Amino acid sequence: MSAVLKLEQISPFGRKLAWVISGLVLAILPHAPHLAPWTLVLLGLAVAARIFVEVQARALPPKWLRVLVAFFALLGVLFTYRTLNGIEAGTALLVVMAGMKLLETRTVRDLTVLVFLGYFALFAGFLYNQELLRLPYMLATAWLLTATLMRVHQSTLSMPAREAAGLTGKMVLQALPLALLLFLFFPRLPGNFWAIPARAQASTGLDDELSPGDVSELSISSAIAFRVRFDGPAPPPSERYWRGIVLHDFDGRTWRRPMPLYIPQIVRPVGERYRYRITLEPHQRNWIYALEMPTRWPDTAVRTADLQLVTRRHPIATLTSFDLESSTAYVVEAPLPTAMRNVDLRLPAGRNPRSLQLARELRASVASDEAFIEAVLRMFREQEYFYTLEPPRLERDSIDDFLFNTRRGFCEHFASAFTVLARAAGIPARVVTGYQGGEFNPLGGYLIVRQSDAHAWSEVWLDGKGWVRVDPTAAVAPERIERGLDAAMPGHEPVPGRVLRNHRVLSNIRLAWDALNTFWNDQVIEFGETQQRWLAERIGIENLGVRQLGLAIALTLALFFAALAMYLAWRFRPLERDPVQAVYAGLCRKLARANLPKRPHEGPNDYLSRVAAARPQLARELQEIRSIYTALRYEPAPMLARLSRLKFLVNRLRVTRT
Amino acid sequence: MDSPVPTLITQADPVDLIGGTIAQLNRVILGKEHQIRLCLACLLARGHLLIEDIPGVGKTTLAHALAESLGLSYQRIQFTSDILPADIIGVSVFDRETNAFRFHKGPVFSQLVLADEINRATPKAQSALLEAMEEHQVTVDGQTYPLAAPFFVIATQNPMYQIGTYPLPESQLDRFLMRIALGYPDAALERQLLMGKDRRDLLATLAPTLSPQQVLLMQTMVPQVYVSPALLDYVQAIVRFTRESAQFEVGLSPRAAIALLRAAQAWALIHGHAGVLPEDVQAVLGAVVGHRLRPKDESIAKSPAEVGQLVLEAVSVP
Repeated sequence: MSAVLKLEQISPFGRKLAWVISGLVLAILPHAPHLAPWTLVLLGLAVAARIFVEVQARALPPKWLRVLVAFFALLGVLFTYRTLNGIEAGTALLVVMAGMKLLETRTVRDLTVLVFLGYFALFAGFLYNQELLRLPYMLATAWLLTATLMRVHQSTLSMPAREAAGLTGKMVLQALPLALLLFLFFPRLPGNFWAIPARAQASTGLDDELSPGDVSELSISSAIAFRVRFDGPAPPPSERYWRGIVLHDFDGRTWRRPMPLYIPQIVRPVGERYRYRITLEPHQRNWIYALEMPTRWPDTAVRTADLQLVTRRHPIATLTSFDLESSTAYVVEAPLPTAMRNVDLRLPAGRNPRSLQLARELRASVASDEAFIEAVLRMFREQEYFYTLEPPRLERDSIDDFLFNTRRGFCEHFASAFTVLARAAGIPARVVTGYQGGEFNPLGGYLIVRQSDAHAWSEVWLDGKGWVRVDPTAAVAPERIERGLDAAMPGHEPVPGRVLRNHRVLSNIRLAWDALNTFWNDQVIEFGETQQRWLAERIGIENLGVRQLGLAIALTLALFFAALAMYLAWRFRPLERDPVQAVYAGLCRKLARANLPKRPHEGPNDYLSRVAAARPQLARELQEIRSIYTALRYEPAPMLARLSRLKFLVNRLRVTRT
Repeated sequence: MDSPVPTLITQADPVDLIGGTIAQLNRVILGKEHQIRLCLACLLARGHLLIEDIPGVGKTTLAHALAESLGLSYQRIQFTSDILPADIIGVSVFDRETNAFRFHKGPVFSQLVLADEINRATPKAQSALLEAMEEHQVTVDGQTYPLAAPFFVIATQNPMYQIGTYPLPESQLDRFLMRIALGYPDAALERQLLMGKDRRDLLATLAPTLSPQQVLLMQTMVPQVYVSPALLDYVQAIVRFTRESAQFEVGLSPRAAIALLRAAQAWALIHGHAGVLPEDVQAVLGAVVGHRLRPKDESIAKSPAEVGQLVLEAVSVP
């Protein structure tokens, strides 16, 4: 009861302030995970302090204190982020200063500034996250901020919340056509002109080093790694190897990637060619996953000596698409450079002695490298090796421990062991990580590749053939390659999304949602110059340049506002002029030409008396005009017959300029 | 005008009737003709008047002279912080002879009541008067007593020295049709004032120029002054401006709009206009809206007259 009473007692300004604070907090909320905790604490304190001041009707903190706190907050941002520039420091600064502004808010103007800060913070959220899921939240918050802005500018008789929301909705609907127009036709510059600078953010997905357990850990996540849309049929599941990072250096436990070499390699594709568009979720690294061997790629990417695609400049910090062509099989005819051969034969000294011995014995027992590979795969297939998501921990000599003791492993265990065995047998070999498989979304017609599809395999160098993919996992668990992780894992293993996939309705909902997301990503987020050009060609404009586009949009906007102005002019057109008024307006124009304009607020008596004083020779006529006009316009039962007399007098009136 | 109005009115033009009063008041209060006219317009529009000014500019003299000139019974109530509602409206006293309570009417039962320094009284005492003003009657012990007719209250307020005062809240200010200030006379008139007779002696010489009956009849004429659609457009434009402008906390209420129109009609009546002219509205605008509008930025317009001027210049005459 008392709380209700209190609410009633809050001043109109206090209520506006409450609205502004809630809008601001909602706008800043999405930033919370990226912000240094102390900035949030400071903001919270500022909000609490401002509310306390309002409720208790106290004075705001003194100016010197506010300046001091703001100064230290600035220093704090500088120390936390080592800069005031960039997205994260910028956001932190925005949040901290919004809190400081709150502490000096006492007028409607201050409230307006806060609402604009809210808008800014809200849109800054798009720099971090452009997911479809975020959109309703952003819209709702923008709506609230706009309604708040409207209420802030109302008088003390504040607008009811529902009315403000309704009016805002109307405004949003009215703004929609313009927004759509700008979205479709506002000139986009090709390239990375507006690219978002990379942020120091934890990368997701595969790393550039691989230790036992890494991939199986990643496989728990059903987050999406990328989506692929093929021009034409997709390759069969067993051919869907999405090559990622190539790892060469082994220290006995962990595989690492040395500095990549950019030696051009002459690759002869021999397999079937596939053209596709791959859309990578941001993973904060600069490698691009591609089907087996990319044969054609855009200028923004480059192929390393490892035959791996990487971006030229920025890590992939936002959703990014690449149009690629790949072949599922290829031959490298040139011999392997010695430097590379040495790297891919190197093994850590004194580690995994039993494995090395096993490899040497096995190699001695067969005639060729191919036969050796077959023998190792047969060993995995026929002996007691198990494929599991929960492999036991391995000792220091991880390969020995895996091959001879635990015998249970995930793909990285098998790939790692195989590569070590091959190197020990004198065959250059390396570990490749990436993704294998993918779920086809029939609703969107594209392939979804998730983190749970993460995979590791080996590549060995065979003279005359070049690098050959060997997937030891296929030997242990062929279902993994053919039908995915679900099929390969026994029922008790916690495969992510298994329940979802096995439930038809849920599975369809999930696929539909993903198709919607993909549409959002492809058609909205990725909408750029290319799509604009395509759109322009569809409506019959060829060779659309930035200049023409700018001109077109300026013209369209001008037309739009002209139409709007005309509509408003019609809507608020003056009411049907009555003849008396028309004559008086004519008189006013005539007098204005003689340098005696009517002031807008001047009544006819005052005005015509003033004119009569300025032009005494006309005083009599003006006096008669005045009395007829006021009689016709303001007095009861006007004699309309006098209108013609008024017209006559006005027409006859000759006013000189001086 | 063929409406059944008493001969008294049809025989004499209101301008002539009121002209004599204005002339007489002008002799007492020098150089304040506009304020005197506003005061009379306020009376004829059946409103009440609030004069806000420093002491010694002739507030009391104006009230007294008005009462004398119109032949109205006159009472002055000096408001102090210990004044009680009973001091204003009266008190019931037990009469031994009749064995019943008898109501002794207070000073409010006069035709012209001067409530001097109304803001020095407590809100309770203030509201006793303001209620009487609103209702035109007083209810004591379940018994209702009508007030005199005409009934006109002139309240004064000292804008300075606000310590220990209870400024009237906006809702109470609204009960006053007009608020005016008198201000200093200019030098020449002040000299005349210094050389002339004592004002109190002058008051004693005043003869009634109008009878209370004439005042009452003129009051009935005010709402009949013709208002053209064009003028209503203007009044509505003024009201709309105050509501839509960002310069005021709150716009004018419909009651204020009616007040503005009535005051303009009264003004038109005493100036002999057959219909209300925009200039009539402009003449009363400051006095009517000045205390009803509070500028958001106090520095734009401080006095009621400045507020009136602000509105006046912002709205064009259609």
